[in-house]
Order: sequence, then structure tokens, then C-alpha cells
Amino acid sequence: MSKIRNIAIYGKGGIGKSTTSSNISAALSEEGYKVMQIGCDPKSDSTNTLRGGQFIPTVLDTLRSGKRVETDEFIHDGFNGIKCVEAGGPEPGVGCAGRGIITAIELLKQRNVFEDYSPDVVIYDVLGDVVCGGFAMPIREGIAEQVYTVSSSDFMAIYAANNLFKGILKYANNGGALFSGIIANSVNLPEQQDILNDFSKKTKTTITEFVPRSLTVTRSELRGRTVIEAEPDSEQAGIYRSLARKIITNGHKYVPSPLDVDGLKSWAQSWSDRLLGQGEAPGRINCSLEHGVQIAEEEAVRAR
Amino acid sequence: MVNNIVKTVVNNETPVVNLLESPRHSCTFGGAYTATNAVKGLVPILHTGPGCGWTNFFGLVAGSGGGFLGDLGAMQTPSSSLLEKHIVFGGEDKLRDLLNSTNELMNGELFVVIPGCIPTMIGDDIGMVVNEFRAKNNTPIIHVKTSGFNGNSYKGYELFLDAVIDQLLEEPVKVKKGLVNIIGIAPCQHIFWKGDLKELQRTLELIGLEVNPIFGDLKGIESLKKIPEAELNIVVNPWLGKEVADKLETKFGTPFIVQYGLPVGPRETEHFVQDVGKKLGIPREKIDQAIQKEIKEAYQFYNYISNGLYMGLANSYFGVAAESNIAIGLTRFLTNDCGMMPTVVIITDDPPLKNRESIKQRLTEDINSINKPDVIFEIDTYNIEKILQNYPNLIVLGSSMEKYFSADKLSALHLTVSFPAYDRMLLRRTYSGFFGGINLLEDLMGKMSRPF
Ligand SMILES: Nc1ncnc2c1ncn2[C@@H]1O[C@H](COP(=O)(O)OP(=O)(O)O)[C@@H](O)[C@H]1O
Ligand SMILES: [Mg+2]
Repeated sequence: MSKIRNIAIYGKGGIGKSTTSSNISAALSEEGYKVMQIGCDPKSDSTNTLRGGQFIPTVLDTLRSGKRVETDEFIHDGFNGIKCVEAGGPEPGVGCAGRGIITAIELLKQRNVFEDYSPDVVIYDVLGDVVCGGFAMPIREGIAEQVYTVSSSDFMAIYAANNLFKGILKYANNGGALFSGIIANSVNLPEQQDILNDFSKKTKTTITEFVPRSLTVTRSELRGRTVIEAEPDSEQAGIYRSLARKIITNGHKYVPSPLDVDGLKSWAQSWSDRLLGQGEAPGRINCSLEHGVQIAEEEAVRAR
Repeated sequence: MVNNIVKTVVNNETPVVNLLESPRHSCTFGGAYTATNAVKGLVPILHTGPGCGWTNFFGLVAGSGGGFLGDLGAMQTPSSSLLEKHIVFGGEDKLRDLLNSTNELMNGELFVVIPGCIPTMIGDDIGMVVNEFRAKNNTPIIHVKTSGFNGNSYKGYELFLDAVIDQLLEEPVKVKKGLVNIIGIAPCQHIFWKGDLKELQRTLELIGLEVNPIFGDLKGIESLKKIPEAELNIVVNPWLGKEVADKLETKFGTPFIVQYGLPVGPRETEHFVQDVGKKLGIPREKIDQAIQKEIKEAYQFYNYISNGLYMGLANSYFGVAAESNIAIGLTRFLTNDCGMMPTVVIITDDPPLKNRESIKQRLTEDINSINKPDVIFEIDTYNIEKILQNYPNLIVLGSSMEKYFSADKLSALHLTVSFPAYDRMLLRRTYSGFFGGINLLEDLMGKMSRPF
């Protein structure tokens, strides 16, 4: 069995992790790779666009039912033979989603899923701010080796990315995963690119790709498809293919340098001053970056 | 042996113990569980992982010189025994099932749901499940707001009473003249709880009071329901139970007095009884008359032991490592009544900072000895041994954890008077009340080795 490439994709909720992951998976499968995508989000919709918009039974459903469930009941074929898995989790407001991720991944290992299906690439699509130990599971204990984060130029997304960097830093000395790049999503304006470029410089990280916000994505999603499947000749499909190729060839991994709370605050402040200094703030850019720090912290505390 | 205990002090106020060797308490869950078992007819229902109930039950019961406790302790206790799937998906359904099956299988006067760490960490809405059950069934039910990690077993005792007050007791109530509650003696953590409660009850009955010890009698839920009818709450502890008494005062207007330490021997017990009588407006002479016979008898017993005491143990240096109320009671008795000399008193029940000064005062003021003891608050067993080594003690009153150390390292006579008590069986044994001091001397002098 050749070595599996295990890649984790993190980012705050709604930022585009599943969209991006699914398009990467689809692009890689076109190139002949055997791909498995594992959604680590209690929403359980990571692989929907790989399966015509269909939900599938989750790994944790087997735990919930208490019945012995065969692995093929939670591993489903998606577009181009991609193996689709959803970790699953509790209903919002009950139980512990973080523990759910740990349990689901342990279950997959116990059932020898990776040996039996022997994928070339496994993509973990992981929710979160790394708010608790459970969400850090894929980056420790040698599960994923390379981590990417999906982020826009909005402060909340950057805050989540910075938290991820902290998580990686923490586990780096114990055989945890290392970072491989930021996937900038929904970034269309030069100012947005500048913000992300500056953040990556400050945190000694790299940006793998800029993915613009595009109606192609929305259209494809409404048809329950990835862009690769629904509009293979579109410009956006080309961007996802380029991203997928970069990811599969990029072996570079490193420890990022997250900003501390004050560092992040003053960095945000400097950007907010700069944007306001330009007079009319460019559209779709969150100018109240410095307020963002506080709000994001409050949200993170609440999430815990 | 751990020998580099790290302690840090935050803001010069809260000592944070990072590492603790052989603590002398369990968690809130354990405290509430044993408190529940100590009231007859109550059904403890544990909502926690498998093992919490077992370890806490035997940890606290065996550590307090007892063999068993309650009708539904240990193997009989219903527990949700939460597994991984309940952690992921929540344990509310499991608790719901457990309440229903308990209701089918067990007769009880009151169901007491006691949550451990797991469900509170994942945020189970226990109050909601309990309310649901209450709405559908006739069996009274309360839930204690424990979570294991939110404090020690002393706090668990208080949380149990909190739950009783908030969820079971109703207003308005008619106050019953002469009825008093005893608060501040936590079942099991206070190793003499069974005997002490009985003796304090008997003592106060001498002056015509009706005494509700709450724990350890046969009245069951009635002893809980009677709580608000009391004319007075008596807190027999310099700190534990004070907040409970406060709450009862706010909710039912019941006044309370605090007895700073167990009354041990005729002198302290007389003060104690007079204080209670004064608060209730019982004339002094009437009390004098009621307790005269007891005092006389107690001193008669001192006569039997006096020669032995003054020849064998006169002016002996002694050190104490015990809970606040036991430490105060025994130290004052051995010093003021027996002429011994206290070197150090180590308080092992971790009282809140705000109560420490008054505890210190009770141990150093109004003490008839040329030396006043050093008073040290310490809960770490290794540190307790280190401290005891600094004093030339002939006698060490501590837990059974000091037993071999006292013999080997200090060549001191050792008697177990505090938690844990693995070397004693304690049922009716008591050191409180008029005859409590006699019992103490009996146990102490019985320890002296003789050549024949
Ligand atoms: N580049 C993009 N262009 C347009 N819409 C996008 C883009 N990326 C994500 N979206 C949309 O944003 C929404 C959230 O994306 P999703 O991938 O589900 O986020 P996540 O998995 O991070 O929660 C979806 O409706 C998706 O179609
Ligand atoms: Mg998603």
C-alpha cells in the first residue's frame, strides 16, 4: 500500500471549506487519484455536492443506533468514485460535537477503513476555530500531515485561521500536523488580497491560491454538484484544478507563527486605519476590524 | 513520594494548588451522594460515568470508619453509567430512561438526581429532564447542582442542602417552638458524624428542645421537610453550613447561631448549651438544672482517669491535623481541660479564606496554655507530614494517613480523629458533648503501650 496523503482543511463555519474541499476532491479524482473526503462537521453536508445534494448516513449514526453497522453503510461513492464519509455529530445544543469527531475518526481507524479502501488522498473537511480538543483531533496523533485553512479577508475568518495556527504550533512538537497554506476564498478585490497577504506575511505562512467569489459556485451548488462536475469548462473550475494540483504537489509543511491577542488586535487596527484613511471604504470589506477582535473573542468564549 | 509540591499565590489571596498528594476529600458529587444516602428513604440517582458512584461511595464510607451507608448505596444505586455515545449525543435520554425505570423498580420517598462531571461538561439539561419527570409522576424529585469538578465533598454536602431548600421545601411554614436543626456536620467527611449527631441531639434534648439532625435518623424525608419549621438553626462548624443557614434565614426567616468547633467535654458543652438556650430565651437557671447531673457525672469519670492523665500525659505536647470543627473541639478540650500543650494545629478541610481568621482565633484565644499553637491551613498530605516534623509532639491527632509516619518518624502516640479513618470502626463513637472528652481520653490512653 502506498502512503496515503492526509490533508486537513480548516476554517470557520460558512467560509467555504466544503465547497473548496469537494472541488479539490473532484479535480483530483479527474486526475486519476483515489480520493476519500471525510466531513468533520456535525452539519454532515461536506460531501453533498459530490453526491447530487444527497445526505448520507454518518459514522456516528452507527454509534447512535447501537447496532453493528458495516463500513459500506457509511462510506458512499460520490462523483467519479470519490469515497464520501461524514463523521456526523449531535443535534445543535446537545452532547459534545468535539468528542464526536474524535470518536468518529477512532471508529474509522478501528474498522480499518483506510487499509480496506486504500485511497491515495484523504481530505478532512473540519469545522472550526479549534475551539476544543475534539476539533484539534485531525491535526494531532498523526492523522493529517498537512493542514490548509480556508479564509476570506473578513476578520472573523482570519481570527479562526490564527487560532488554527495556535493549535498547530501546540501539537507541532508531538508529531502533529504542520501547515501548508492559506486558501483565500471569496477574495475578489485587491484590498482583500492585500489584507490576506499581509496576514500571511505576519504569521510566516503562505497563500496557496486566491479563489474568487463566483456565481458559478452558487449555480453548481443549487444543482447539487461541484463546479468541476457541473461547469467543467468554467474559469472557476480551472482555478479549483490549479489549486488541487498545487495541493497534491506541495510537500512543503511548516510551523506557522500565530499572532497573540494583542498582536492580532493591533494588526487589525492598522488595517482598519488604512482602509478608513482611503476615505470611501471598498465594498464588502469589514472595516470595523478592531471591533472584530472583541466580538470574535466573545464568540469563541461562548462556543466553549 | 511527591516532594516538590508547587503552590502559587494569585493576588496574595487565593492559593492555587497545582498538585495535591493524598487529598482528604472527594468531589461535590461524592459529598452529595453520601449526604443523600445518609437520609433514610432517599433514592440517589447518579447521572455520570460508570465508576464515579462506586469509588465515591467506598472512598467516603470506608474512609469514615463505616461499612455501609443507606438502603440504596453502592451496588443498589441507580446510575446512568454514561458511555461514549452519550457524550457525543447527550445523556438526557439516558437519564429519562433511568428515572422511569427507577420509578418502576424502587420505592423511595424522594429521588435525588446527582450529576457527575460528564453530563455537566457536555451541557445536559438535567433540570429540564427532572421537571418533566416531576410533572408526570407523584414521586418527589430534586436534582443537586453538582458536577464533580465544581468543588470538594464539603461543597457537595452544601449543594445537597441547597437543592433540598430550593426544590423541596415550601413556604409558608409554621414555626414549631423548641425545634432546632443541626447543620455543618457532613456525613462521612466528618468521621464521627453518626455519633456526634446523636450526642448533640441528646444533649440539646436535655434542655427540652426537639432536635432535627437531618442526617442519620430514621425519619427520612420528614427530617428534610421539617427543616423550615425550626425555631433556630445551629451550625456546629466554624464555616461549613453557614451559607446554608444564611439561605434558610433568607427564605424562611430562621435565625441561626454558629458554634465555632465541636463542644468537647463538660466545659465547652455547657457553653454551647447555654448559648443555644440564650438565643431561644430559655432561662439560664433552668438550663443549669437540666444539665447539672450530666456535668457531675462527667467529672466523676475524670476522677477515674485523672491519675493516669497527670502521671502519663501531663503537659504533653500535641499536634493536630484535622477538620476545623474537630480540631477546635479537641484542641480546646485537651488544653483547657487536660493541661496539655498544643504545638501546631493543621486545618485540613480547606475552609474559605474569609473564615480562616475566626478559626485561628478559636484556636489561640481563651486557651489556657503557656504556648499557643501555630495554626496552619494545609490539605496536602506530604506537606502535613513536613509540618508535623517541625514540632516535638508526644501525641499526634490526625487521620489514619499520619499513623505510621507518627510512629516511625516522630515516635509519637497517634490517634485517628479525622478523615480518612481507615484504622477505626466508627459507629456511635463521639467526642462531643459532656462525655465526649472522656471517650477521647479513653481512646488516647488506650493507645499507650505498657511493658506488661
Ligand atoms: N468561492 C465561492 N463563490 C461563491 N460562493 C461560495 C464560494 N465559496 C463558498 N461559497 C458559498 O458559501 C456557502 C458556504 O460554503 P460551505 O462550503 O458550505 O462552507 P463551510 O463548509 O465552510 O461551512 C455555500 O452556499 C457556498 O456555495
Ligand atoms: Mg461545511
